[in-house]
Amino acid sequence: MVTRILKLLNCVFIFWISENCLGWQDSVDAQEMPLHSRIDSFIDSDRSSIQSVQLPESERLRRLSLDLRMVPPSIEELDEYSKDSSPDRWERWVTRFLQDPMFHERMVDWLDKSLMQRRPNQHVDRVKWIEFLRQSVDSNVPIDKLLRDIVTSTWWNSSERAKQRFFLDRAGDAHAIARDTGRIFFGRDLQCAQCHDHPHISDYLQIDYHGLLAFFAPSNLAEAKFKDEKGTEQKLQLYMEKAPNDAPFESVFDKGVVFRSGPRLLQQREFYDPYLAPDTRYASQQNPESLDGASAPPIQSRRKLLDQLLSDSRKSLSYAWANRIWAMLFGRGIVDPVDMHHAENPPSNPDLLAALADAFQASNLDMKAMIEQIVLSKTYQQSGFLSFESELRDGYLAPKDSEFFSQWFSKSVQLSSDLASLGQKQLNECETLKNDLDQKRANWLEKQKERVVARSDLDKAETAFLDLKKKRDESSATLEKTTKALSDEKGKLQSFQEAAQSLGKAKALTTGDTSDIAQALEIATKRVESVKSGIPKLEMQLAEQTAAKEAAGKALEEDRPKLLGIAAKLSETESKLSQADESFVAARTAHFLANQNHMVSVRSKAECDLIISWLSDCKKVHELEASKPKRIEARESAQIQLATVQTKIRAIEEQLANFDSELAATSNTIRPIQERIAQVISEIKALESTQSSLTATSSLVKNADAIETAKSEVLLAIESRRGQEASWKKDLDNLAMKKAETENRRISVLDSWTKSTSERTLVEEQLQQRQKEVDQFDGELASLQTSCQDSFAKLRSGAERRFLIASQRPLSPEQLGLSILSSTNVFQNYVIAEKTELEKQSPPAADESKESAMERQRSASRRAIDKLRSNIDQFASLYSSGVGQSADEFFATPDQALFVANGGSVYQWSAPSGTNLPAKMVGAEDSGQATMILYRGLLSRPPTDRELDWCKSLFKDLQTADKGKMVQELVWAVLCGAEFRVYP
Amino acid sequence: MRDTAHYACQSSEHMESRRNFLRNSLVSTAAGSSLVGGLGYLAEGQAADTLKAADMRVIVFNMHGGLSQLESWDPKPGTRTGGPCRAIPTSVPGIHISDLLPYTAQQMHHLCLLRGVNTAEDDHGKGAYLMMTGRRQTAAADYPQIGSVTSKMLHDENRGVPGHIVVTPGGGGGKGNEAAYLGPKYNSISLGGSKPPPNTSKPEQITEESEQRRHEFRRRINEEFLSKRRTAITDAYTHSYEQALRLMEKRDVFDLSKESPKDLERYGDYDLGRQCLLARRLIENGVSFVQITHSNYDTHNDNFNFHIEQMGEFDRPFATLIADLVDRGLYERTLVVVLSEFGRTPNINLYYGRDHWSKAWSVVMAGAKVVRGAAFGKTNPEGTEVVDGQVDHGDLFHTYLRAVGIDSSQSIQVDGKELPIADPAAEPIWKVLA
Repeated sequence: MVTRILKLLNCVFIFWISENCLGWQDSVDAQEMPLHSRIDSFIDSDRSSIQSVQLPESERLRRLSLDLRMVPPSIEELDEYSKDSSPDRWERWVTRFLQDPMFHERMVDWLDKSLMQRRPNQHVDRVKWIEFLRQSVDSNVPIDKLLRDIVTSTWWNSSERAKQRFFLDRAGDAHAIARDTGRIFFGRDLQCAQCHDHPHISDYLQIDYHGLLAFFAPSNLAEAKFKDEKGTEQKLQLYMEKAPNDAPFESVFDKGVVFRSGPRLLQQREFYDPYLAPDTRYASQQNPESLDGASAPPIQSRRKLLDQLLSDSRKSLSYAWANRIWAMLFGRGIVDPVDMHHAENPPSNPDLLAALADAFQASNLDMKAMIEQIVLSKTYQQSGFLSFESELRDGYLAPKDSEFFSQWFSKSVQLSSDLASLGQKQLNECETLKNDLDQKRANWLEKQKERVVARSDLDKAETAFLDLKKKRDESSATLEKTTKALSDEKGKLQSFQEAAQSLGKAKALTTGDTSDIAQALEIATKRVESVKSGIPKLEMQLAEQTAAKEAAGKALEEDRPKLLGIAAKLSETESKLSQADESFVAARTAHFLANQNHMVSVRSKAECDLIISWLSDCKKVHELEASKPKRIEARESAQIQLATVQTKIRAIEEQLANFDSELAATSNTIRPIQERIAQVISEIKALESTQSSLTATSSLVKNADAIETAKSEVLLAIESRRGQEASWKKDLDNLAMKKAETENRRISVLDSWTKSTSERTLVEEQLQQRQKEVDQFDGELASLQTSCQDSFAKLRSGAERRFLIASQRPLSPEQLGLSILSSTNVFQNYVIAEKTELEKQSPPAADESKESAMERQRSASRRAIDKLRSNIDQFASLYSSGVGQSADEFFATPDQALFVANGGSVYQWSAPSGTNLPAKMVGAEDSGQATMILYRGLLSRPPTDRELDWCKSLFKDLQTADKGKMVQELVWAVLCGAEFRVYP
Repeated sequence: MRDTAHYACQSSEHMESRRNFLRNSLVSTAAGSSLVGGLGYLAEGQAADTLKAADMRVIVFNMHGGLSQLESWDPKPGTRTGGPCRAIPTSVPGIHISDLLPYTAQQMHHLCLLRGVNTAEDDHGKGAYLMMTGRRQTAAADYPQIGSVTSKMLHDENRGVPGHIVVTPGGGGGKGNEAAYLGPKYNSISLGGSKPPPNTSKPEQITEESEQRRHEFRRRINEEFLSKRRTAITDAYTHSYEQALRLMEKRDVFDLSKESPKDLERYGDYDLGRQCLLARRLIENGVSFVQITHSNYDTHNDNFNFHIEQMGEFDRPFATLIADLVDRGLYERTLVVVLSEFGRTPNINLYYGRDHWSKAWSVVMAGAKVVRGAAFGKTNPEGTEVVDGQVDHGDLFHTYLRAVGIDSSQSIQVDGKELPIADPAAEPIWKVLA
């Protein structure tokens, strides 16, 4: 797509939006390329750098087999395939599977679900419907032919009843049929445009819905009676076609503006039928099967018109069905959902779809050829894995290969900006075209109004005409009655006359008493007279009524030209409308295409931007991750710093503690000295007081020597204490000095402690900062990783949507059921039994042709499927979406699991029996071989080493009986595993 | 994509809406796109989780055949149309109901009568359709029933029990088809009487050891595959087997014999009594929606005797259920609805019967966010016309949803289409919502 868009940038836009340009402007070379290579080149041009890994060989065969035959390949086929070394191996196996009887069943199943969407069989026997589809598939009937067969099938012909199922099992409801025709034939679901233009989708108009409805309304189901072979009366619902009668409609949003619409295919022009008077609308009776209640076909058949349109213009049909076939093989359409094509839901690869549709049309809508080309493409054979998948971690890709990375990035940036400017130009173009469209629409609306007026005039005239017709019909009914009465009377007269005559004769011939004959004759004669007298009155009535009838007939015929004249006026307004319609439709188409192209650019840009954001996320993650060690290192160095400071502080604190204890010790020494000093001082005081009292006493006492002696002793004692005090004080001074010294030293250490603690606070802050940085960084990284994952998930689904990688898809319920039946050999055994039965019925000739053997194989498969139908139906009822859904959406519920685990027969089928796969496992030479059979037979791939080891360990030291049980458990476990449930 | 479950779709409902996701993720980023409305995703993300956490439940009584409003919720004794039944006072002064419902009358203060229902549809099938879906039936479109809508919105799969159960008097065991475009996941599981859902016990011939082992094998085999490719599909699929095993463990939830004989006696040991007790058991054990059908009310003949019999069956278990829900604290989060496809004619026909009548009939709502002890809407004295508070099926449907906390104006995205969960032309009956 990149190339195309770049090419378009140089394009003259007005040319580009013209329809011619919608298709791929192929070079001659490209045209000569086979379709499957062109598919790949369309996909490749959209890839930018998104490449997928090819699927492993054996799993590729599994996918092909499931798609073309609904069942996985057998071990024998896998062996044969892996031994096949021819260069055109894939082509050969595609051909082989396309010739497989099961391919026909696959197509029947797909067509059945596409057309009937699991509606219950109410009016048509399922067997007959399947038979009709089988016949169509056997002769590879093109899809347009098949749909036209359905449309033109007649209700009075019992051999065509099966085809009528499309209508009958939609209860003949015109709305249901119109809706499903839009969805299934043309890929557009107009249901929401029934009562107004579609509220969300600008392309879907109410007139489109009613245009489609006009093909089917006012037909409906009606009961008819017939006698069966035994002569008993049976009732039957028929879907009869009635003459067209288009009802007026209005939008619920814009009441009062009335519309009428004849048949119109989606976004195409309206068709106008030439006017037919009400009494000339049906053909004379055409009902070979004498169904009582079946009506004659109308002269103007809208179904025939639809048939004509389908055969004339197969463009929209081929577009929608090429998309459906693609969806069958990829699990999703290029337009997806397959029935919602409009400008705002454009094809994921418009060129691809256009090319497919063109090729499909060129091949006369040959479905088998289309399927073949698609499965031959490389695109079909790719896996769901991206080329860089193995390097991915949770959606993040390390830009190891920076060249690849930066190229992709800059390419995407360039493309995004190109797309932005392209989108802007397209938007302007759309606006211009929208203005034109509005103008054309206004013009059309005006003409439409005139038509509605003319049409309602005609309705009135028609009512008057129908009144006259009613009168004429009544008068002719009366006349008929009288005519009949007259002829009855005449008949009576004749028989009475004859009676009278013969009585007369009898009387003449009879001898004897004839009184009773005479009496009888009299009565007869009287009767003759009385009847005779009544006849003239009746004859008069007859004449009057004949005249009245003629008059009524004349009045009707006189009114007819008037009616037709008014009809001619309608047809005049219609031809004006037709012109307006044509330019309206052209403007719609132009706007649709421009709008669609714009949406394609918008989508492409969105995906491009997604890639850009993902790539830059990856880059950021990468950068962050790269800077992670540095940040951690910084945090760690801060931690070391902190530790150092803390050690230092601890040393200081130890020192301080020492000082403190030293000081405490000094204080402890000081305290007793001080106490002693105090003691001494108090002693001195006491001594001094003794001394002074001795002095006082000595003056009073005569013999003072003793006192003096005492005094000098006291003095001595005082002095000695003073000496002691002085010496202690000296000690004290020394100690105080020492303490002061220690305190000084402590203060200086305390200073360095304060310094260190403030250093510590600083370092702690730093560390916190570093930690915060690391946390922030981790958070940033985590959110980037999430965003990376998100973008990658979107990128992956975008890539799946554009078929750049395969998307995972589940088996359909029917595929699942049949695959289980086939993997456990139940199905094969049925086929063999049926084949034997067929051979018994008509033994094959010795020189039997290949075709006839193939034919028998096909019949045997069909009979086997028919016999196993109830088993398959059980899967369908549990695993399928509801009635009327366009596809089987995947869902998983416990009741499915309960059915497989406890109900149903899956566990029984998993038991060894005869020559089935479990039995082969039991009979295998060794556990390795048994494991090979298990994985290759059920999952079409060899076991991984781990799986092999695991299984071997299970089989070790097992008795034969236990082996059987274990095999059964293992087979069952694989059958209900996720790998079996999905396509490879 | 190895260890964490991270795939294309982020929502828990991804298994059925792959397409929606694509549209949402890609197109919504596209400027000017009108394709995606915002409403659709309300139901898929946070809003839905909040709702599931609110743990609301619904029980619907479907009075099959057409319950007579005159012999139940809106009696007209002593009038031309009243018939022989009387009206009795209830626990709410001023509100009288039929004397056929003496037990229910005592629970009136928990109930809300809607007496002005006019659905204009007298056909059984079409009437049932519009009452169950809130919309008139058309051939071109099919709508999901109340059970599918509420179980989608309310049920949490982790409870290990089904979200949508229809109890049928007969066989049961099948799967319903009520979900329309919501997808078969929301179809009902039907229970016959008190039998558990089908296939919920392992076949006899499989030994306990073998059973353990085969599931062990299954897990082991899956593990190997999922280590390579894990998606929404594979997750949902493998999970469904684990859910199945949980359901087998929870088999007792469906076993009525686990309830006491005394309770059985209170409810009545007959079909409807047992079904009501089962409904209580299911609601208590995490089932979000239970529908009980009581048949048959189509009384064209002998209307009165039939109603004496039918109402006689209904009255006691219904009243007991209401009382029990209140006692057990379930009432605030359980909506109970008694509906029918239509009512019955006021006019009594020649066979003492009443015929189909949808012009003026009654529906009962109770519990959850519904006002208590009220009668909303009124018919005229002979019950032939609604004179006040007229509502129809669409309004009722909105109201059921609102009553359990569901925004009934939201839409669901299916196949690229925005589908309103209730008819946008109708509205909730705000007056009956507390």
